[in-house]
Amino acid sequence: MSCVEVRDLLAEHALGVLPARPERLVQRHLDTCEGCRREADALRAAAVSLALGAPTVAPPAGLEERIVGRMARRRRPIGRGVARVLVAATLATAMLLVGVLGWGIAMHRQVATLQQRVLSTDQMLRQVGQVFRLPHTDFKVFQARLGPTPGHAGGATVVIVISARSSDLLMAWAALPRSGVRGTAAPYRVELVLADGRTMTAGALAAASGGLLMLPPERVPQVLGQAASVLVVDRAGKPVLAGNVRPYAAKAG
Amino acid sequence: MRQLRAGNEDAVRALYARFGGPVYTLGLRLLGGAEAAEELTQDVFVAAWRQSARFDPGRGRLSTWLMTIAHNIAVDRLRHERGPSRPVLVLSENLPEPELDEEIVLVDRETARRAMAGLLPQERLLLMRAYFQGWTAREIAEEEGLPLGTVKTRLRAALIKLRRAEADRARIVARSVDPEDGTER
Repeated sequence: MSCVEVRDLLAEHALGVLPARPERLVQRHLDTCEGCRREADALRAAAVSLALGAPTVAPPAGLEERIVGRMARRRRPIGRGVARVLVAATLATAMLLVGVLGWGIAMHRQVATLQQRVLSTDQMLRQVGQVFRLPHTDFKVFQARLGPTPGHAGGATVVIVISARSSDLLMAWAALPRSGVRGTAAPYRVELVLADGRTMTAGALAAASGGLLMLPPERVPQVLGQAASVLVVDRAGKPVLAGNVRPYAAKAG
Repeated sequence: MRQLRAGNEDAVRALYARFGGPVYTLGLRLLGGAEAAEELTQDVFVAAWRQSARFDPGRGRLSTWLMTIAHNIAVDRLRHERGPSRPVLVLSENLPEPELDEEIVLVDRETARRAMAGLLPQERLLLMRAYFQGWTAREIAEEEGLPLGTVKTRLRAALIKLRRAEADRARIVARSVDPEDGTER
């Protein structure tokens, strides 16, 4: 769906009355188009002002207590067995997401340029990162945004998940110039630089849909908590992308 | 929001104090009954708690995020329960005046009221049909005897007018704040 077609539907989207199918198409477009997303956000804020500007009725007494009580019941601690299932389910979800997101991005014609592919790696980071921010889990989620080293181009995002109940997990998506992928520089590897200066190879990037390179969720020995930075190195071991590890933040930036 | 995500009870109560009224009223308007509105209000605050990690302040205000959740749930429910039939409109004139004391909500309301006053009656009607009755553009076009394209254009124009009026109001408020000490003149 083009920007012109999407903008024609944004008023209905903002008012929450777009039928399901076009709504899905609009949502998919907004996931990758910053300009249309800004327009949609502004129209939605205007739509919400309809509710905020209208006379308001005080809710019945006791409703607040019922809401607080309902939330308290839902956040009761869960058993160890359930937690284990949750960890396994979350890992499985991450695996699925990798495929689904890659497919979704490939379906868009938004990945023509290297810059757009770099942005799509960011989108993956945000969405996959959210999966691990579930309540009742002990996941610590870290991220690294990798920028090009001098003389190179592209970018990558890396998600590192550390869990006391499971192996550590690392996923990476990279966007590199196509010529480099097909040429002598490939294959690219993801390397971790640990806090004590040691380096460790996490795995090789493989071609994925949407023009991206991907390191699928990789269970690795529990050293990821010590990772200080991440590198993508080429066939000769020369760093082409680099970035520091920091706690996961939902907002891009 | 961090506290809400952690399930902090005070954070939940603070959110409810600010938005309980608008959410409940939206439920009354869209779903037409106190029981449905109560259920909606409960569901909205529980959903906000569960989805709090998704709130992105870079994409809009908390009020927009929360009311969008409320509106989406209400419209879904409306479509599910009533199918293609028309929902009952609860006219704003039939609703009592507010009993709110939260300053931010009042500022939002005043801004929104002024913005609404700048719309043409026809524009206001179309927005009400869509937002408070959950009618699609096609349903509005059929009901009002207007071409679909005209309805879409008018809905968009009306929202843009609202947005501009709010932006103008925000600029006026910003200018009225003394830059030295941040207090209103």
